[in-house]
Amino acid sequence: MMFKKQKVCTPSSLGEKILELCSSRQEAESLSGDLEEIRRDLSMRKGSLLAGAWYWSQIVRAIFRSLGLWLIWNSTMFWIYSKNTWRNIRRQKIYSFINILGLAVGMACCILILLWIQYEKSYDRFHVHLDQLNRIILQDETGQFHDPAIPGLIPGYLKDEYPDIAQATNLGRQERQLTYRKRSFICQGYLADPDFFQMFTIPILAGNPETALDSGSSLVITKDLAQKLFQEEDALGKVVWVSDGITCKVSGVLENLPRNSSLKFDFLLSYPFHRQNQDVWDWRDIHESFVLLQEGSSHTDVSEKISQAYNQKNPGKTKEFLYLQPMSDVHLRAPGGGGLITYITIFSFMAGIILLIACINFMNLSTACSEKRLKEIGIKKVVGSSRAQLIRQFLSEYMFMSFLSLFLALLLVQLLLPSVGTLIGQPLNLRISWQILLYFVGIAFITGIISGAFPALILSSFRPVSILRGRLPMFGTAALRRILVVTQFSLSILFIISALVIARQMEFIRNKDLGFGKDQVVHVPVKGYLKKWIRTIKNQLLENPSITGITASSNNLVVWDSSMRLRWETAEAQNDCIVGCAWVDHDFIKTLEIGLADGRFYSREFPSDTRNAYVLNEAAVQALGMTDPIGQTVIRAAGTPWADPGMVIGVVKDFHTQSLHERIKPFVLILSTSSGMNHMWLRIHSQDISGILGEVEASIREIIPNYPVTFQFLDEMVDRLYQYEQITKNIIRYIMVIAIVISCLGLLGLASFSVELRTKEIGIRKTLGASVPAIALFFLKDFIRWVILANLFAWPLAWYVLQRWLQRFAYRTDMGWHLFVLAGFLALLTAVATVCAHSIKAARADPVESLRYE
Amino acid sequence: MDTLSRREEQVLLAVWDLQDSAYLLAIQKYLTQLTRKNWSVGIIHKPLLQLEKKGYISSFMGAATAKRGGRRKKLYKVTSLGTAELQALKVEQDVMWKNFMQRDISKEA
Repeated sequence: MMFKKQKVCTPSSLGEKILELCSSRQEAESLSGDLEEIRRDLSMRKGSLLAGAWYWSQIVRAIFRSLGLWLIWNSTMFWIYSKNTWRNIRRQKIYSFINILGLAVGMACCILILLWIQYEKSYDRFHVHLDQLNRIILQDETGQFHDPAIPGLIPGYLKDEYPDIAQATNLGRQERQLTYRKRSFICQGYLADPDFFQMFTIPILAGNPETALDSGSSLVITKDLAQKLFQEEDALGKVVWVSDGITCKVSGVLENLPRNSSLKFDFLLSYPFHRQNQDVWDWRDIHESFVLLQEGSSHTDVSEKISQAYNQKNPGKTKEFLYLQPMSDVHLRAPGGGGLITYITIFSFMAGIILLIACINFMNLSTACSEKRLKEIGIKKVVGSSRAQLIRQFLSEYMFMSFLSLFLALLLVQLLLPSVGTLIGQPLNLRISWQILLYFVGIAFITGIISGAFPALILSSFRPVSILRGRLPMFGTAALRRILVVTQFSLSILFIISALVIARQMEFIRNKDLGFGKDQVVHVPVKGYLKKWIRTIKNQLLENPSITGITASSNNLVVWDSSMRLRWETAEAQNDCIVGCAWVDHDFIKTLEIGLADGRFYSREFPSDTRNAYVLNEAAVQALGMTDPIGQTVIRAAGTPWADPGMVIGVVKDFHTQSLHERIKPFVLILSTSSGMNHMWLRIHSQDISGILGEVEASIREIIPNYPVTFQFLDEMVDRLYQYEQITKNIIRYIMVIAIVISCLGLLGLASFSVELRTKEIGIRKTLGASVPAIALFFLKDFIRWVILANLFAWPLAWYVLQRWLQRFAYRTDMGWHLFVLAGFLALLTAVATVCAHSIKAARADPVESLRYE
Repeated sequence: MDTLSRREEQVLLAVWDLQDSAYLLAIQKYLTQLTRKNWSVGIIHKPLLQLEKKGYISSFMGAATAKRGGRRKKLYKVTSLGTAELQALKVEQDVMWKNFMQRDISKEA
């Protein structure tokens, strides 16, 4: 026994395993015993080395032999299976066509959506320190504001205070006009700290990253901008005029940003030399800020620490706090919930559902068709094929079809990519990486298994006797097929309802009174010299009879990008809140047609308005808890001490400064006559819009010859706030059509199949006197019943899903029960139209034809 | 009744002669010693399979021995059908050989 134990552990136990794999189970033991005996004999006679060599040569021969046998048999069977598959496809051309095409379309949809998701998820992945990068967010006491804009000195302060934070930078968004010689461009950029280069992975092509942002005259630009400004010349060291009266020397050239970067800029200026803040907690100059944590620090810990620091430095604001948002979430999730990730989830579900519909179709038609193959199965079983073999044959057949579909789907995707790219506003490309290919093969594989499993299992289980005697045991499959069709139609109806409701909500948004007149308003960005000349230009343009009003403001009307604190002090209490703010001129509400609720707006008749006067919106009045706002004194926070007390002279009606996802927030309008205006709004009244725009451009150029004038229409700017909703609306329309078409293909297949099965029945009915409409109706009734049933399932599901989608809007339409009915009716109509032709044809057939061969 | 090939005949006789200890290697040793020719395992294995299929021998698993690393032997035994076949074969061959021996070989040549 001891001996045996020892022997089991010899190296040849591996050989034994191999031998076991190569031979049948009963043979293995005696064979390996024989081999062992010979080996031992040999090692006694000729030495253990030779014996070992002999032993292993035997094993290797065994491997090759069994491998060869395996290959021969499998390739033979494969060849036979594929021949069979091909014959089946050719025998039932229409079914196979519908089948493969339906699946290919479903897969193509799925692949396209996957590609898009993959693109969106690739955002910012190129940063080497992505895991350590975080954005600082301020959450206010109401929990409504999650504001990435904080005073610009905070990041530096935090870096000095907390060793967990390795690097920190502001990214203060700037829009400036850059001029070199005669070439002038309006560019987007950031004020950044010198840490920038160590935090973000953007290769620097020229210049020294350590010193590139070290002085007030440093300017770092991207390769693209360098090419535009300097063309062939070497950029480094060139002096560029940057608007607002500074000249800078190019100290670095960066590689262009990848498309999938959430930081987007053409140039960087040095923050420490352009800041306006004096104090860390100075709220006048607020920016987005990013920090790089030490390796191994958890961002929740650091969040807690900095939020404590914030509370200490800002006593009385206990419910406000700072927290960190990981850089990987910046593109996908809006701080405070929502964001792109919602749409990624929605689209993933849509992809899944469309694939499911296609799979159901495939299953349905496969079972329907394969019933025609019952005889083949019967014969095979009689001849001696095992059930496992039949299952394998069917599975491989469906797998073949699904891979054929995958191939077609990839072709389709390649064909559709450009148009889908424009549809969703993102260029997509089909780079076949291994990972993606694996995904697709996985999809095809799963589809093949799911759709093949049912027919394979059911059909192979039939008893050959009953098949060959012509008793078709099909009750089970018929019921299942009905369930599948109902599911398919339920999902299609879900898509129809979604498309209708989303369109309705978009219509609602389009027609919603935003509180200002958005039509026929043109926006002109104001940069550089134009700021100084704005009043002159205004007067000059007003002479044009087609321009009915002009106003200027410091902030963009449709984007909430600037906020401040406002406090109302009474004897009893101090109320303060964060308000959005904009500096405007006298004509603001008149030009933009914003209503006045109380008091008056700034007027030239009151020169004192330029100081110490405020106009609030209704929401601000409410937030500050005022009952009689006119004449009350409010103070705003500028730096640590509260300053600039002023009187409320008027209240404007609420108007939307953000998308309708958000409630209207408190807002203050402050009169400014200085040159700090960034935006100009023209209300025009004319048929010839491009003519007017030409005139405007000409008169601006008259004063500033090289000024790059750009125009945007206010209503388009508003529309752009709903970019993703618009995309969803477009995509869901296509998906709806595809879902209906696939479902109808399935229905068509089923209808023709059920008609075929009942040819004799029709014949007998007709000879007994049934009319054509009666028979057609007899078929239709069946299908109509299923579709109505599908409606009953779809409605509650759609209601639930869409309710959740609509809740993301603060302002939304109701769903409208008539949309549900309309969707159901549409589905019914398409179903009837699909089946109708077929049933009428069947009903009109001559009964002699069908009964002759009895 | 199937006819036996020369090799099958030899193996069948060997199995019969070895009685209870007839397994692959024993048969090999037996035949090698008797015929003074080198019999490989594969050459014996195939006739064994054939004989078993034809029903002349039956196989069963024997006891394990330490020499084989604890593995059991596959032992063979001649069936009654096999014995009958051997007897028939012997009778037939005896008749044929008798004729051969009775003639003068040198004259024929």
